[in-house]
Amino acid sequence: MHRVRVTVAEGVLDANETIARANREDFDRAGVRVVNLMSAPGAGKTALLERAIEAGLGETRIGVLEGDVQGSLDADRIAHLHVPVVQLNTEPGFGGECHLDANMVRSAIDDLPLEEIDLLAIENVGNLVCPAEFRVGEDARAMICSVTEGEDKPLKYPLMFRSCELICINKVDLLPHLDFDLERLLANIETVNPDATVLTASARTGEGIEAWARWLGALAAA
Amino acid sequence: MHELALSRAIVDAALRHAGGRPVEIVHVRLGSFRQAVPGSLAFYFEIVARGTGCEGAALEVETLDGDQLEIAWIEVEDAVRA
Repeated sequence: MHRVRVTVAEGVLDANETIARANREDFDRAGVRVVNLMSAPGAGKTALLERAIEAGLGETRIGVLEGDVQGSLDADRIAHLHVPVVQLNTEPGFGGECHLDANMVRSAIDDLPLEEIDLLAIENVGNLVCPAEFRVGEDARAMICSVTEGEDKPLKYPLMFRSCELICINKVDLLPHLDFDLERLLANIETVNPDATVLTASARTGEGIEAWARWLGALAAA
Repeated sequence: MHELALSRAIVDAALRHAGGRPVEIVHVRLGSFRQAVPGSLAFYFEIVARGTGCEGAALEVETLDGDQLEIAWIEVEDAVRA
């Protein structure tokens, strides 16, 4: 027995990227645009999706893939709005992972009515770290950042904030009750991702929902 | 938690390149932008590797400034003399 060195020179996430590309090809073939929606737990991903669907997305027919570690609470909420929704749980089956990866999304593609939708919103598992690493076949990434999380989050989780085309700041109705400096959050976002589109919204009062829905509609039409 | 997911990907890729041979060393290049902690990566790697061809292998992490996240090379036990 002797040791040999094998050159690998491969990105650790290349296998995921390959599957993500296959997903993207399937979505493209069906004419479906895909947004990967990410945030910390409780920032309001599901609530903002609900409000956008209720507000109406114009001609856009939306479908939702709900990613959670367990349960179908979010999928049940979306189903009440009469849009196609598929629940994807990472436990059991995918080791209870704290994010979605391309392979998990691939496993759900056959359950998605791609011919009946123009836009697929993939709601990732609530987490600001792991989801940023794993492409799932999306056209765009959007993250929700709520004002109860603190202004420093872009600096603490730059990988997530840098990887998104849209950053939607939620729960702005709470601003009068918080020691939260919105200007500082905006400056921190500008530091890590000057190219991002930034919106402010409140899923509770409906403020900013129109712009959020318009962004989703524009993505579907792209 | 991030490191756990990355460790799984590292073990999978190493096994694919090892072609069934026992893996002794996995050498990874890791940029600081990836926000992964080398010690934590090694901790999870050891656990994820258990029961696979990477069991007992050493994870070498070369830290760099940038967004690198790649397996540079692995060393495997080879029964056939070169």
